[in-house]
Amino acid sequence: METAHFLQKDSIATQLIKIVFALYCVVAIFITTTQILLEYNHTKTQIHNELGINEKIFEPVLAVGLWNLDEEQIQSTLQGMLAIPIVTGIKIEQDGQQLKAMGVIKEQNSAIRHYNNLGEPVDVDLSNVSEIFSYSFAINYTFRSQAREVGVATVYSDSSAVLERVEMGVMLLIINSIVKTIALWVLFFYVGRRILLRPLNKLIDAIQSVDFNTLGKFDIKLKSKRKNELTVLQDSFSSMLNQLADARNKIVNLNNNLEYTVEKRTLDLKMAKEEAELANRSKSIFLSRINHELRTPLNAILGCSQILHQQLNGPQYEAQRQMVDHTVQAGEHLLMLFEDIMTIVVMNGSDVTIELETFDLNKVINASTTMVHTLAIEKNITIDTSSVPLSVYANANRLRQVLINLLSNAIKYNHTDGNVTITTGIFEKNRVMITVKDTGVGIAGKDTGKIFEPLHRLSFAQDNSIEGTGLGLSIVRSLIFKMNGTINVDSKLGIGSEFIITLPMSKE
Amino acid sequence: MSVSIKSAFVAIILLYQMPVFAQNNKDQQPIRVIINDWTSQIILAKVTGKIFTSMGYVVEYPFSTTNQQWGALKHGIDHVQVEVWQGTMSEMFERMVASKLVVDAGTHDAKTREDWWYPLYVEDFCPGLPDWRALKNCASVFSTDKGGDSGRYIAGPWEKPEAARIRALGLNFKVDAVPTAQDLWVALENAKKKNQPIVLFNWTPNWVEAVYEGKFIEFPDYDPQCETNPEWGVNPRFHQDCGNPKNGWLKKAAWAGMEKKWPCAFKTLQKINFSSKIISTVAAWVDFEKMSYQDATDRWLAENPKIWQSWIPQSCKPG
Repeated sequence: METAHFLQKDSIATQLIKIVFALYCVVAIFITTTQILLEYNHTKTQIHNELGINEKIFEPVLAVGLWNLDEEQIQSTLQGMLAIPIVTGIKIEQDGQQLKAMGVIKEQNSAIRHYNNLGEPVDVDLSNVSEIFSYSFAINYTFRSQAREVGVATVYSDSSAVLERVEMGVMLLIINSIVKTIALWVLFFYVGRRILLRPLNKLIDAIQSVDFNTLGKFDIKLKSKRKNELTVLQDSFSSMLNQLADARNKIVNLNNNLEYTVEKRTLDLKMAKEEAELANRSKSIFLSRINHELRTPLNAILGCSQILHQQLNGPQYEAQRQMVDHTVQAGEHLLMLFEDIMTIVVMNGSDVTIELETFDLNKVINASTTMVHTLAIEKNITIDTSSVPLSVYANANRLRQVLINLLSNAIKYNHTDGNVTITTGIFEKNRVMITVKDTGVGIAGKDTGKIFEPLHRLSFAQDNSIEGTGLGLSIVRSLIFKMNGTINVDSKLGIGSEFIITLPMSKE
Repeated sequence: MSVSIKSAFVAIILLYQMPVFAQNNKDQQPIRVIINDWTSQIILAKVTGKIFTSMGYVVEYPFSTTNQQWGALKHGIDHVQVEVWQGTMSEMFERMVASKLVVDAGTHDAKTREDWWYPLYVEDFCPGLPDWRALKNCASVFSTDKGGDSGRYIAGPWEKPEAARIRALGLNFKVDAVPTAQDLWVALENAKKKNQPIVLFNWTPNWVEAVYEGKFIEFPDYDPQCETNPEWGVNPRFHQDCGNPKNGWLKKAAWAGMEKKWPCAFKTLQKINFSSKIISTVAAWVDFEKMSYQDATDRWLAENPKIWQSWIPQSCKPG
């Protein structure tokens, strides 16, 4: 397995070092810059104060010189003042006029001018002179115990004096910051490498070398005397691996047992399948036999009964005809129940499939209404169809069976002179809707969920002896589901019911 | 009635009764006549002030040192100085006049000299005098117990370049400055009584030469370059390798605004003229005869009305 050392440049320790170093650099630069600015301003203030000290030193001498108009003394005094390192210029004014100047001064019109040591103006390049600041003081001569102003002195300095003084301090400050930054980085790198990067790499190497087959032999040994996050991680990982090793052993054992169990279960399943298939075949044979054995005598009973009914002409056979009618009705009911039961049994078989195809919906509807026409006439019920040309993807015969069942119910549970309406339309994208609506007795809300259950009959049907097995709607629902459709009912007692079917228009 | 009383009476009447201006004296700004610290200057200043007073001016007499007086004159704090000695004040005077803040108000007839001086008997102790080079050989003759071999030169309270001269001429002397002019004469009298050699600052016109016979030390003749060019003179390395001017002028100085403000007083000042004889006489009245300054002033005015009245321009007199 490839070791993790190739990740060193992106390792957490390296990133930490870089981030800390970068942030420290930013902070150090900010602090150093602030210190330099503070130092500059402080020095400038100091120099300004020192300029003020010149007042105490030179004012008496200047006062005597001005009092006595001793230009030589004034000039030599100014030369002495100019020799002070922080002084870059001096100006003497008397009665608002400039009397004498030396060095770089600001004249009354704020222009900067340079005067030589003899007080003569000279043209020099003053572009490098920046930020001139000054200190002014009145020159007073005390005569007869009264101070009399004989002039005003202005002592100038500029940023060069400040820079000259702070230069060494600033350099030391910068060097200090650089040295500290480098030292911090080196120390951080060394310490970080020692206590973070190396143990992490050991941990990574160890983790990457884990083999599922040798989990129980995992050991890192970070060699740390103190408990820290890495040792906790090591211990936790080791514990996890031990648990995994135990689990692995269990899995291996289980696996070994499982194979045996699977083999056994497979065999059992095979046997069960064979038995199920045998049972299924037996069921099919049985159903086939039952279908034949029951249908044949039932048909015989119904046929003979009908023949006998035809032969019992005359009023003297009235009682016999009624008995035959009862027999025929019972037989037909038994036959209908048998067919419904067979249909249920067949529908509930999981291997039963219905072939689906696209066909004209109206044809099936028309065929269904034709089948129940006779039943409708008996109760003078009108059947209205308002449908549009539509195609549907289903099974025509089964759909007809569904519609016949719904129409039969609509007629049976309808009033005399009632109405049944069949409508079709597009329900959603690629789905058609078929509704069968009647003006019958309606279904109570509590029964709407139960009517699709097998053998469930409304109390109205039982009270009014309406024919039925209670399996019709169950069969309808099963058929609709087999054709990928849906069926719902909306009904109100005393008003009527509406069954809504949706089916796909085409193969999805 | 004695001459003096009569003269005093006349002087008083003249001084306090002569109406030149009808203005009330109290309303006028006073003319300030500087008083220094030597006798002749004090008396001349008071005489001048009295003359102004007789003309109706208000006069004050502020004291000033010779160093400070120039600034006062320049700024118009003080207005008149009646004795400007060439030997020691010429540099400042000429500087102020050049600035046009002080004006030259004229020259007295008196000729001045101020320099090292000794009583005649000292020549017995130091042959070669009055030549300055004799001092090189007999500096110890002028020493005191405290000075060792160095000679003692007694200077007045005024700032003079004596130390510079001693250095420039290579003299083994030390300057001993006394606080007042009177101290000079006390030292002279004591030395004479004890027949001790002495060399001290003196000047003329002064009363001293009338009482004590003596001579000035003859240093190399004064030249303006002596004070400005070190290469000039006997010592090419230093200034002040010469003596003070021998026939120096004695001038009057005034504030530049005086002529406009007090024209009559200014014109009178210009005409005021004291001779060496007058100066030495009035100085002797005080320093030797122990008169007060005021008495000496009044006496001179009383004894010399024609002189001082002639100084007042006709246009400034009443009528």
